[in-house]
Amino acid sequence: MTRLAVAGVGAISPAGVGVSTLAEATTLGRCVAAGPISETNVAVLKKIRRSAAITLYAATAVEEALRDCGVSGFADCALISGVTNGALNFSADFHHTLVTEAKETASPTLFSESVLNAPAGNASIIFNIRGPVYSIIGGQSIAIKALMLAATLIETRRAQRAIVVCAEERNELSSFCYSRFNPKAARVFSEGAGALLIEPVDERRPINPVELCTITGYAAYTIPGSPHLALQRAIDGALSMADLEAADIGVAVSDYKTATLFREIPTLSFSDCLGYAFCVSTMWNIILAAMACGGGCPVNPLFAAGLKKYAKHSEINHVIIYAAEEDGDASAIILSRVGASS
Amino acid sequence: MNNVWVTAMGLVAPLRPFDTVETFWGALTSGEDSIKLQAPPLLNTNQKWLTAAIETEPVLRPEDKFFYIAEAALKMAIGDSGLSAEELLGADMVIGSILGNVLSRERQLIDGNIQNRTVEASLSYPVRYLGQHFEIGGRLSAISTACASGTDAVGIAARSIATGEAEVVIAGGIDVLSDFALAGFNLLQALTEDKVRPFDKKRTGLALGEGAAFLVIEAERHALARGAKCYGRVLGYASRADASHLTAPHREGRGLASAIANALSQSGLNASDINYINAHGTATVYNDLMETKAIKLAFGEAAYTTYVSSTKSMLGHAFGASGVIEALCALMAINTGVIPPTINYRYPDPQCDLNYVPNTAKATPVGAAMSLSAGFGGQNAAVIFARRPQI
Repeated sequence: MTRLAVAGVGAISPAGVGVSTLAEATTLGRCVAAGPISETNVAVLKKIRRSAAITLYAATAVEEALRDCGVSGFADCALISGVTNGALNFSADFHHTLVTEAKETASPTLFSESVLNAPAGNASIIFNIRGPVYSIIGGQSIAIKALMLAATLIETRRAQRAIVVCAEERNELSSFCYSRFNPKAARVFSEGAGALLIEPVDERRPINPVELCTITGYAAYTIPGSPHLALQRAIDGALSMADLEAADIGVAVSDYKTATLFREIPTLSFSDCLGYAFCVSTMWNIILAAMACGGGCPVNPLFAAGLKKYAKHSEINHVIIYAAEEDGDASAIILSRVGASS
Repeated sequence: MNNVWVTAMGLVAPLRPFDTVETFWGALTSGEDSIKLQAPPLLNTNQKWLTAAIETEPVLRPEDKFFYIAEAALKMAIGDSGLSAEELLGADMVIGSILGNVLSRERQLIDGNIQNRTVEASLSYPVRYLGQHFEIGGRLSAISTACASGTDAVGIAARSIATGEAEVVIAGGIDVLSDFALAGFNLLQALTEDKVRPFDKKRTGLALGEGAAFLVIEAERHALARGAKCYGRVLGYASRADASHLTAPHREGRGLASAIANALSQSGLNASDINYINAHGTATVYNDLMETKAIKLAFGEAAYTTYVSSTKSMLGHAFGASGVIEALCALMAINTGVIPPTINYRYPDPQCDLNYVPNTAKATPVGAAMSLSAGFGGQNAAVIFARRPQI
């Protein structure tokens, strides 16, 4: 198996532009999810003035991940986009115009920018990414599935490296749906994007010798109606692939509420701080975990507040991030500190 | 890498009603045109559009038709496969669609349904529903790469088999006509008010269609062990982005040519080994010119000796389903030695100067065939099938 490194990260969230704002908000436990994103990357915005917010967020996160890695674009790079709801604001505007006004008055941009692969398509154009570009659809677990697809593309040499991005925009329709149909969840909805650049450890370019962490295991399962069982299998599969035992895991990160998966291992969630942004929430979890692994030993300050009560966890070598959906879709991924062995 | 077989097929498409792939193929190769002037499904307008619609009895709303045709096509493919219930439980499924579950979500909101419908409202619900309904118990995935969705679903499924991640993957494409899409393509001035004439000098645009199609893709070892039939092997697949424009293809066909070249490289075949290309062939001015240039760029001189046809001239453009329908057509060409025609072709375009199999099907042996797709976002995909070698 090709060893893969997380070589760049990027994010935009209600906390602001950049992973540093994401990290700062979660470290301080500052709740930032109450409102929509108000700050944007002006340079990116200039290139996609007419696009939907979701595209702006995706492009902003990709730009930072590429910049973090020291490059401005790749011709032989794959781009995998995870999407839960897509550009629903543009879709709604398009429908509204069709129904209430003459159909000729609707802007064609509202149509073309609302297709589910528009964020990925626009990002490929802005950053001249000419390798395989895919948009895969699903809930919170799709972020990990997108990473798995990217890993396969690199493994089979269909791409030298890959950008994985998840983006969502706040939308009245999706907020209404989830709140009305699932009132017990009582979630604060959020928006933004997160992106990772992954590449083989052995083909590292000298331009960026610092790798955040390595991806050592992942798995996904779908068992309709049994998310807990699917998740257990996904976690077991990821541990098996990484050749690790559950006890080797330093910390777990997930927004999926379950008390029984890891009894001895602290499980952190940042959704109280960042809000619920569908697939993006999982991507933020992965980014924060990658940064924590990059800090290595002792425990990265990012996780310190959440780990206070677990005194024995003085270092993090391996972090598992998992997600599961009501419909039985589950996935898990393990990130390991560079040099950490099983 | 494992050898990859296609062991079963099923579809529901326009054309007169059919029960088997063979009946569909007979109608298609006879040049039957399913494109008619029809009213849009929902919006109350006086305007009619040229579309290729699937007629159902009773008439179904789009969101219901989506699941109706998907179930029928998948049932046909599973029946054709001979897979046991146990084998289905271990199979993966990947479905490509542009609209996905958008139509159902709209309907639920319109109806004010207050049941717990979070799951049913999700865009990836169709693949979960079909997985549960047919007891397909492996990994279920939904992909949306615009009009390349179906071809990418086939390619991703084949890659899973080749790398040993899975032994059986069902790849499908589903999409139905909607007012949203009709109005959108109309605003982009992509719809024709004339006949659909791919590669013709007087082509004026596309007609939208709908359909559902599934292929059962399987590891050769697994297929041989259970005595499955083989419609063909998947030898190569590639996806490449134009990185040029969101809705218009790259003028020189850069991304598509790269996808073709990469798929050829994977397959180990030379361009001259490909006997037939099922083209994306939408009949828009820019697509057909770009596609011709891409084929020439990747094939060189062999472009002029390879048959190229567009089945969209008869079936319309079924969005994300078209890639799987056209992959099925490429496989049927291999199996029957008949290449479907490009109908409504009258005036040769000097810039589109390949052999487009005008108006009448061509009987000729087909050892290997390629299917091409392109879509919004600068998506391009190419997949290569070949006859099973004599064992």
